[in-house]
Amino acid sequence: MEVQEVKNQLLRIFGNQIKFNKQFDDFVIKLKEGMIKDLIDWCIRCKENKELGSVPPKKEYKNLYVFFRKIASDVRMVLIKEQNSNFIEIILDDHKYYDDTRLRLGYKKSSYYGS
Amino acid sequence: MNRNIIKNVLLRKDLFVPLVFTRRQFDVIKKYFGNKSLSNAEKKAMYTSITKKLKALNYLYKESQSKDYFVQGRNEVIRGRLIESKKIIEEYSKEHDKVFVSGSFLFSEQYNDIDIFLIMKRGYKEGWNGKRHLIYLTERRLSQPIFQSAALISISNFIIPRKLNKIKPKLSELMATYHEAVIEVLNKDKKSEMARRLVFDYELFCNNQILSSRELQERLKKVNVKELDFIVKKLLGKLFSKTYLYVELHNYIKTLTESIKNITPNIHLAHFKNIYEELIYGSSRSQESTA
Repeated sequence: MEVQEVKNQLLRIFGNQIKFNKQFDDFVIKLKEGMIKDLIDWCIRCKENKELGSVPPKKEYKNLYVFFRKIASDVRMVLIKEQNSNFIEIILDDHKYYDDTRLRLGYKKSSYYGS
Repeated sequence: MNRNIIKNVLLRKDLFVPLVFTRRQFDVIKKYFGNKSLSNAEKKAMYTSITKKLKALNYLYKESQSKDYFVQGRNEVIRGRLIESKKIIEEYSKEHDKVFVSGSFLFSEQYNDIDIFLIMKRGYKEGWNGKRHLIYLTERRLSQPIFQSAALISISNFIIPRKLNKIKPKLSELMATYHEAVIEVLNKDKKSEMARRLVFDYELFCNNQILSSRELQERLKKVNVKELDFIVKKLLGKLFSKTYLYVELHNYIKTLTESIKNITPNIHLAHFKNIYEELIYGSSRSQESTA
């Protein structure tokens, strides 16, 4: 599936306000077709309130609701939503960026060996 | 770079100069070994021609060295994997002095990847080569509990130092780990990474015990939400003062109360709220309806 096609599908799911991280395109290219399908299905389930997320422990982000997902061995996804409102950000990146995002929101690094 | 090789070159100048190294190159090696600063021209010489020659010498040195392996948790290691691991170590030890193999590859018939630890002088990085998960780290970093755990069932070409550096996690980190662990269990995730971490931290900080990967695997088969609740209460109680917990959890309970109104499904959030209330007030005060 083409990168733009994936983005269009996600825009249809979440709306035009959603932002993609800089490396999003580079990481979509790395994914196999089945993984992309899983990713989109998961996004639909998040949008339809069928997945459980968490409220960031940091006070400044208490209005957010966050979903994490491991896509491939070194590809991770974060989906951020404003509570009672829209999804605002999709992050698809490597482990390093994923960990940085987690730390920013007050989570622990993920459980790679270096964490 | 292998300092033993450099030392041997310096000790046997007559053997290596001028056949392998020029006089000038020899002087640069000497300065490098003595940790003296190198000029730009010397650096260029060092990192182009000299390094390549030293790498070649290192290769021969490794080939000729007697091959000693150190096996930790021998009873847990599948025999075929022991032989395979030795081959892996041999392969990587041409580039790295200290190497060890660990993880489920050693003790489990089914495994996702092979964890290969390569000791470097500085830095930390991870990479993949097919099924091989390469973890480049310093010897100092080995004192982190997670690597000490990895070392409990391992095959190495060096004696892995038994030093432990316990760093207390932040309250927000522990809470987030607990939340994600509960979500993993509720979702029946195949690989419950956060539940694994919570159990590991509990044993480390509450029972002063490092679990091996295998012990962790066994523990996780039986883990449920009730046990995670018990663990988080014990951990928080052990690591943080009552006053600090009261202030922080009291605020987070307020956040959760608001979030429960805004989010569906919220059964997990209501559950976290109950647990934190039990922890700081002694009993749950919640009467919210969940969705």
